[in-house]
Amino acid sequence: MIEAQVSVLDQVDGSAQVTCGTTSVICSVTGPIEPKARQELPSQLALEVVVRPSKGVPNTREKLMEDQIRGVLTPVLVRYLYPRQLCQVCFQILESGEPEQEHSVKELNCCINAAYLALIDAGIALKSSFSSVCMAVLPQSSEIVVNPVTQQLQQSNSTHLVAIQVGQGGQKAESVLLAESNGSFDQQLFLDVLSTGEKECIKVALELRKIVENKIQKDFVWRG
Amino acid sequence: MASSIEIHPITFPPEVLARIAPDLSIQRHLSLGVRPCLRQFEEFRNIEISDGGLSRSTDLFHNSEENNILGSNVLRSGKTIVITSITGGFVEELLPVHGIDEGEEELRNMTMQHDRISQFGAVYPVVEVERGRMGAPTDEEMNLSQKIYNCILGSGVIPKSSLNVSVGRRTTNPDKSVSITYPDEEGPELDQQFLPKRKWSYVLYAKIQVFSRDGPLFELCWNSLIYALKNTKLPRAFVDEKTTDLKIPVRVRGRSAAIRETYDIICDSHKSIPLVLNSKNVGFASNFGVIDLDPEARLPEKEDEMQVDQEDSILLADLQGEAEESSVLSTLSIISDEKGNLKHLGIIGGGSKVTTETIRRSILLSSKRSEDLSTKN
Amino acid sequence: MSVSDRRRILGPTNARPIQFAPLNEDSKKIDTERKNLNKSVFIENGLVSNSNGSSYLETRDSNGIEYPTLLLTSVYGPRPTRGSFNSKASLTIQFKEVTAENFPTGELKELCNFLTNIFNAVINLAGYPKSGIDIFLNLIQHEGPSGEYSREAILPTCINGITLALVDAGIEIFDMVSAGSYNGTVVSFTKNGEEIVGLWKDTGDVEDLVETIEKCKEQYYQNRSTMIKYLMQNKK
Repeated sequence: MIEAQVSVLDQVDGSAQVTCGTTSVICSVTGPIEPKARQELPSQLALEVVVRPSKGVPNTREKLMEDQIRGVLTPVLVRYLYPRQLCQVCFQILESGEPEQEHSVKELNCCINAAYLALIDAGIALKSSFSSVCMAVLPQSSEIVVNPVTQQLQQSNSTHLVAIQVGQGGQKAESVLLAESNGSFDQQLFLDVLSTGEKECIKVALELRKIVENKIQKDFVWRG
Repeated sequence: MASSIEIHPITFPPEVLARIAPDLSIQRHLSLGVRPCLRQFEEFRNIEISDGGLSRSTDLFHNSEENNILGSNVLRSGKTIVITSITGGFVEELLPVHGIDEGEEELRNMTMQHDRISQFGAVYPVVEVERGRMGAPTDEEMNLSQKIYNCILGSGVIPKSSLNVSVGRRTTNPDKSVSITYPDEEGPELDQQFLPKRKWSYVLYAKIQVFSRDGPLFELCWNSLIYALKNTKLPRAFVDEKTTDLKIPVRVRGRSAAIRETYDIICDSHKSIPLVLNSKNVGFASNFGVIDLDPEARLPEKEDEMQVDQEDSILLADLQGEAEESSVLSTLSIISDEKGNLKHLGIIGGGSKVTTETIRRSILLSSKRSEDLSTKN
Repeated sequence: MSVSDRRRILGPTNARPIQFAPLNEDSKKIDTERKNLNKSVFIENGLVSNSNGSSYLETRDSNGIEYPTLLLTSVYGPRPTRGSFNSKASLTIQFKEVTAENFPTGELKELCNFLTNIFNAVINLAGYPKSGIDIFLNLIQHEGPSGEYSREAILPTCINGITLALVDAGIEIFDMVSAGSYNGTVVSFTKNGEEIVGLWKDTGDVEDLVETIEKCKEQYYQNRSTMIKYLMQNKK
């Protein structure tokens, strides 16, 4: 389902490329670095998030995605460890895999997962692991499809993104970091989506964990 | 002999405490069972709305051709004032030269049905929040505009058919008088060949201006926009008779298409039709916050007061004020109708944990709020 | 693509604005002469809570129906300026149309310049060194007879609005300023009509200037007494 590589860029502190179906995103993390005067926070890490779309120049759509990603990363970073410093997290969408005018949920999903890997690659302290999944609910059957393809996304009655904080060695969903649902749905469907989302997020978190394990093994290959 | 030094703890008036230590201020208020804005935990602010008399269809303007505002709303919630005005434009659909192939049309309609969002029309909003600064739109304004655009499109408030223009013809009669006739007004005996062969649709723009920003704005702007769309009237439009038969060729030179526009669509100042909304997709927005009570911030209890059993996690409705906005890090944003059908649900879990129970309670409160708001006129 | 385009949702690029057919001669509205209109004014101060002072003005004719002008003025200041030391406060005035865009930008800049000149003479700038005072005029609605949009029509209301907002903000002014307009000319007075602080003429013929000034002064007295009455009633 999800394919990822870490340390794909050499000029930055950490990077990751994540592909989920037809959507592909590269994330780079640089930090902790010297912030600009206006960004500096006296006792915490400042966060700068930049999203660049696959086509054209960034506009309000990307601004909203940046705001949503910031909402996920701010509670999860150990910000008090890096006072008066800045962490820059940049995303380049390589392939959107969805009609950009109407949806942004698949790209957002890839961005969040890529951010996790890139932050670990950069060695920035995190309070816990996190992962996200995107889902669509098909019209007739009310079936919840995880990682929908474009056609399913277009037909769907509602689209959902769930990002969860995962603890206990990647086994348990601790709390919801972000939930973004649009379309036509009701309470029961949302709660079903949320519980499906939690289960799938745990699966994704385990996948990402394996990738991190491989990376650490490679990094420490010369260790006695 | 040394004189004794008395040490007094520093106390601040509530307004000052709210600025220098917002989290402490809010915890103190919550432990007393009230919020800094002096509302109950789950109490919403009252909303006053009016159409403001700004649009061209109000008595004041007698459909004046100088006023191009098609719908408007003025919303007041607490200190915050939101003014929405809806204006319009036209987009012409480029049709193939040799008429529309029946088969192609059918195929197009079939594919459209499978793409849910393509059946809905959009509104292009620009939100401006007055904060005493000049310059380009801020991040907050951009986020608000984009979120409103996404939710209008995703929830399907406006069916695309509402934005199709039913084009009329302007003819000059033998007695030199001018008359304008519309397709639905003429009888069925109208000859097909006199119908205009070009297709237009309306484009809706919304300008949302906010004064006295006092807390999260998305819900206020959304509600104001919904009220404005409800009273929007689209002016009828026509073309001159001599242009009905005309097909304008599109010349493509190199990278740009040169279209010679000599025959434009004009609006009728006297006639307009109300914008038809998908009433089952219309929902109103509310926001909520979740915050944990910090036992250390509670004021020391008097000896004789009963130990009140308080929950650890509190749900606050309709966040307002600097203290709440900066200290309440877990928020929910819900657009729903009175029956509990949801159009948008956003959760940010930046602080306290958002539980299923919290979600259920918020949806219930949101439905009640939507019911209340939908009855306002 | 300029920067502001990327920060707003613009809509389809091939969209054209709505244009109405010009009305025929017989269906034109009856053109009441502007000079004979009696105006009634609604004033409310302090609406914009995050500014230092604000005032909301509604000007309508005496029936309360036709030709309303709705203006919301907000004042931010005195607030600190960066850079080198200034012995006097620096004043900026910005004008914005909240609903419909009827005035061209160049005309609005001239309007703001004119107002800045008036209030530079009236505000005690020397009393606020190293500071800036920013005034924002938000025109919510304006309708002239037969739909014309003239700056002469809104100037007196702007001047009244700024005066009231400055009072609400507690910024020192030497005297209340107000203005009257007559036949396309706007004259602004202070000190009980003894001093003229601004004169604006853009359209109309050259005629007896003394008469124009007298007519404007009458309106000035009327406006000033209305403002003073409101302020006295709402003393805190």
